[in-house]
Amino acid sequence: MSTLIAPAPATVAPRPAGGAYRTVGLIGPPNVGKTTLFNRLTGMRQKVSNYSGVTVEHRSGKLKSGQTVVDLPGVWSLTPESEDQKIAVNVLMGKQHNVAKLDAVLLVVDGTQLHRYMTLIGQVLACGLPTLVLINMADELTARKGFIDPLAVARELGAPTALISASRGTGMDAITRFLSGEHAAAALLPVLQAGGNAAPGCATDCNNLTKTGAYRRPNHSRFTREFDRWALHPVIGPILCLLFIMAAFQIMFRAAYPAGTALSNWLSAIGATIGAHIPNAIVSAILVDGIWNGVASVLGFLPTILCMFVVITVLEDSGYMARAAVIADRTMGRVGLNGRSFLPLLSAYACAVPAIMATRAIPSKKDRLATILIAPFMTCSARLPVYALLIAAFIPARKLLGNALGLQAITMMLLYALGLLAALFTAKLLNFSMLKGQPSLFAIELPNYRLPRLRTILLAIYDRSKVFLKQVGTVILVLNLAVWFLSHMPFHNGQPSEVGASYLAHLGDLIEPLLRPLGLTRNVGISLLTAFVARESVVSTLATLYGSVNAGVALRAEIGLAGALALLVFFALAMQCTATLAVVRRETNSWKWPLVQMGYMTVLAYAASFVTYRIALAFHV
Amino acid sequence: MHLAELNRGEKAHVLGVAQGEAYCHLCSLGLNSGAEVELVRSLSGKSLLIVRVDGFDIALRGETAATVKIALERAR
Repeated sequence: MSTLIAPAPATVAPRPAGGAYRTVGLIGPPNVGKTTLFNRLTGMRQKVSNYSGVTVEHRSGKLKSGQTVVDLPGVWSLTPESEDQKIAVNVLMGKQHNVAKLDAVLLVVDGTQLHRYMTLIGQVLACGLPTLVLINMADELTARKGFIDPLAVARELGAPTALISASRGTGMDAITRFLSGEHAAAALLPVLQAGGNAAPGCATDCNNLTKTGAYRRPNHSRFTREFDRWALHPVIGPILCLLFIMAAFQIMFRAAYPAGTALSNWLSAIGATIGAHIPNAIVSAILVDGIWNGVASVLGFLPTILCMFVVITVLEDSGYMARAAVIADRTMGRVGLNGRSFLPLLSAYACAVPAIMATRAIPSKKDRLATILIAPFMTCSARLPVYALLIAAFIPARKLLGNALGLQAITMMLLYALGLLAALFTAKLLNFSMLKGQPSLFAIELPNYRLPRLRTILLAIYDRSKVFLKQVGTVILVLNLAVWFLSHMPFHNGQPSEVGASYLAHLGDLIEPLLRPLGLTRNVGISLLTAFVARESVVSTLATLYGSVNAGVALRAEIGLAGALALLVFFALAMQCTATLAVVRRETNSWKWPLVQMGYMTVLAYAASFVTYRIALAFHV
Repeated sequence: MHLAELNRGEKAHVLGVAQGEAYCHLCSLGLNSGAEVELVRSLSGKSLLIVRVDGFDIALRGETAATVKIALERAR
């Protein structure tokens, strides 16, 4: 499989000093296994998926040999169509700030659809950098009765060509040899010029390949066609989509949440044992109540959050996400968005920060801004712990529809729906007011279905656990400690004061008048203040304030069901995340949009929460 | 005629894509001149089309499809 062919060089680029290339760019269209190859080459962890436009930032990594590989966003041509394509073109042309000029290029294409990449291949080769054309998924091509003769393709293209399988790791030796400068032959293709708008002969080029017998396209995947008859059916399609989402929620509540509770209980039992062995009461209280219990209560949500990421990764990697985007396009179209916003919005269910970064793949500026502005309404994983705590404390675990659905899972779904509705309503509002304009285009490829790769799922779990644990270990830990001290100071005669007489209580007193109309108390107010730094810290703050891991029970005595519903609604709609504010500022390059967003969301959350509380009271809830 | 005028099951060849916002994106999805297209399914009237381009499926909105000029393949 690992064939490396050097063509008869038309023009040879100067060989770099020292033989090997120092900085190498990895370029290719979205969805061809570029990121898989990058991970394999550099060992760096990055998300791999089966959906166009996931890699939005360029990343770089070091090879074992010390050479730098820059992973560029996926591009279809060198005519920049969206933000991430502009970045890719700039890096390739050596015009991107903070990125070293490239010495060579690895161009990755999908061997099963070679005919679609002829424009890009021509344009990249025309840049004149030493380029190795990597034809990926060669194994799949053969399996589906396609054929490729790399020698003939290399001759036709006038560039060294290698067959690889990035997922299996075959053909890597060809890359190593190329990068060592062994095949520093760059051929200038006379037919295409980089950056041109026209794509002359892009179909002809491939016809040549077909005519010379160098390439035969594979048969289509029968399973994909059969399954798409249902997945894209006007009636069955949306039902199927909804079923997938419901199944995901059931798994989260039936398996992940109980596992998390067990973990949290186990950790707090360990905490109690440790506390019993510490002679000094204050030190013991700081370590166990201030640090251990707070962190333990947040750690209990790790399984639920990971479950969410696994679901999103499976949907992306299997290829179903593109179908979901098609199904969603009809709904999105009604509020002036399109199906391309679907992936960023769906990943906002995990976290709004990467979601807002993923909007770079949306070509239309208007759509991109609208998606950025509504993304924080989607229920992110940091809201989950708070929902889970309140639902477990206030909503009875009643079974509905036999054993199929629980009342708690339904409440959770309603909260997700509330966020979604607020997002759609806001999109419509923007479409009528600040972001009036032409309807946007929507065209998307429907990749073949494939079994999600375990490696990709494990990488996602590893990645997300790392991010979450880092958050728990730094921001949340410091916050918990600060909350503990504020809630136990001032000290009198070396003894901590009661929570009710502490500094934190004074802070709570200040904001309590604002919260009273929502049926909320001082303690809830304090926890909402800490939520600005990390949403999920509400749970640990409450645990610290009540001095127990099980904050739910204490809360039940304090705010009642009406207050809990108001709190859930407030939490679903409020923009309480400094990280999101920062990323919106960065992506829109102004303070205007994050401030507008924050003001709007806070007002909406307060109003909706007030209405909820009043309605709940009216029904004597 | 253009791509949005195709009926379900009909095959055609692409003559070209009108210059505009969608041009590059449609080319990258394989809608180059000479490509064979077939309408697989249309959703909500013809507001969304599933089109087979050289054997691979894409989805696009009707108004976007209207920028793709095609020539109908003769019935065999």
